[in-house]
Amino acid sequence: MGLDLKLSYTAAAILKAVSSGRCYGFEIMEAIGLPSGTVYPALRRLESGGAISSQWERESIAQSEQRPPRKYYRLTRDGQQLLAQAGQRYRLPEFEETETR
Amino acid sequence: MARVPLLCQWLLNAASLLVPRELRVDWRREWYGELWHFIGARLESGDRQAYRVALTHCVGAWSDAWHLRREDEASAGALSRILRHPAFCVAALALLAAIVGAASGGFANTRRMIASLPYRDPSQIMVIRQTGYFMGARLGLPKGKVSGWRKAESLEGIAGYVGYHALVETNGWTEVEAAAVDADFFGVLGVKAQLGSLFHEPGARNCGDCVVISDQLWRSEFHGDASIVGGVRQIAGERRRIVGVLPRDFWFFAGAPGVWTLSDHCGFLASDRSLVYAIGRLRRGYTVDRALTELRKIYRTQPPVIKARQVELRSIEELTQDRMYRNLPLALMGLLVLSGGLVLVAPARKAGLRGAAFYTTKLSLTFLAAALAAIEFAYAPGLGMTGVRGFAPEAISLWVLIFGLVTSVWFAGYDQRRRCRICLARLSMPVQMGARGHVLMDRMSTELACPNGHGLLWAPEDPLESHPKDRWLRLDESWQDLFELSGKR
Repeated sequence: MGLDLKLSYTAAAILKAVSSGRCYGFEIMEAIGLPSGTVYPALRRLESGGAISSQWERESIAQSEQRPPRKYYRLTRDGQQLLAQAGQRYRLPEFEETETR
Repeated sequence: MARVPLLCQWLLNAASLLVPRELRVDWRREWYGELWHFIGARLESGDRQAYRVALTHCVGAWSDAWHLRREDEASAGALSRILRHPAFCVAALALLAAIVGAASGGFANTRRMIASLPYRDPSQIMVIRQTGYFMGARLGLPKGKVSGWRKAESLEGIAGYVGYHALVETNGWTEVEAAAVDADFFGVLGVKAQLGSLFHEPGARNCGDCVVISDQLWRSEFHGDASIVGGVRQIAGERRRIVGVLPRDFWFFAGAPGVWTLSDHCGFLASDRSLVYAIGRLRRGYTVDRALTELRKIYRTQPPVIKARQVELRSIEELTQDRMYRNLPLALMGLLVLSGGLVLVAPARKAGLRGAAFYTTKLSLTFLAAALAAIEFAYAPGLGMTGVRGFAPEAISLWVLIFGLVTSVWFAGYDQRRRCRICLARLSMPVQMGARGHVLMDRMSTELACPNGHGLLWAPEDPLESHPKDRWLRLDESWQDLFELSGKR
């Protein structure tokens, strides 16, 4: 276990949402019902702690669909372990699995 | 095609200024993209609230941006340096004074108090009234007596006036302060119209339905339209003709009534025994005492027979521009410029002089803000049309001054104690030692260090007099490298 992150319930719920395929900020917000001012700073902390990583969508895809590109978040291996540990401490919400981009 | 509303874009752009520069482009791109998709999806599902919800999400962007800024150590260090700099303290106090200015329309009352009164030779204008039954109260005089004083040799002119409220027909109806004045009123003051004519000028003499309006009413309700002069409006219950507009800088005691009518045609001033206030212009060569003696003599002999209380003659300058309130802001501004200049030009080796000048700058600036607040919000607005200041405004302004002085001295001293004796930066890295109540060892104290490495302060926190005072340990230049390193971290 390479991470020394203390997860709050909110951070654990966000991690759970990411693991269930919610891969961008507003989708996570909608899933767990928290405001943007809570979700985004938590995503930054989780990313800097190594629990999630982010990646920009390919510019060519966004251009072909005439829309701005999106930043996608996904769980890292350490993040998966962290989520498993958090699952033992908290009763986390269940999300319907969605297709991961 | 979904679009991010302009207000959302402004909010995002403004919030992005908080984000560290190297992350800013990415941050803005992510938030813009997310909003774009969010609004599009909501609109497609028929949600009419999409834009409103998007706007609330944008508020969260500030929280996100602030988080990134806080995480950025370089920015936190820079922010800490700014907050500890002596200039920040002065800027914060100046902002306090600026807030008073913004709330008071740019120190309008203070400027009036300092500038010369907008009348011809104002030192010769006197307010005439009777002393009242209770301390500070002043009464008007019977209108007949004021007419009788017209033959007084000591006065070049005299005019009665009384304030009331009136409704003015504008686009709708506006309630304004009004004054009924004798035809010579503006002549005694020596004021000329900026537009049209006043009651003492040709064109408006003996004109019962004539009315003069203030510049403020002319601009706010008649949009500065010059053709209003000569126009007829329903004013104070009658159809009246507007004959003139007063000059922009004209004011009379606390302000200027919006509407001025002639007292000769005022129903409530029909009797000679109606009480009015009066202004008179003292003839050159006559003293106030001599004029007062003459006025009292005429009062006793002139009908109607009314027992007089004490008639009083006071200079309008003395009533409106109290010497203490007039000179205090000027003196404090002078002190501020002097001490502020000294902080800037004093050589670095004269640390004691710079410290004293900085202390004086803070003291004068804080007290100046309090003095301006006292003048703007209590002292000047409290002066009624009668030239009498209410008991409450007088007392409130005095208490604000006293509180301001005490606070200024306390703040300047408290802040100075926690500043470096050399560079005047706020000391940092407080370390608390001992415990309250220990009298022999480990007395409660705090140790602080200058962020620029000039020295350390040991400050006892126990207020017992027998305890030692602050101890300042000056560090030599060999310590500088260590503090520079800690500043970069």
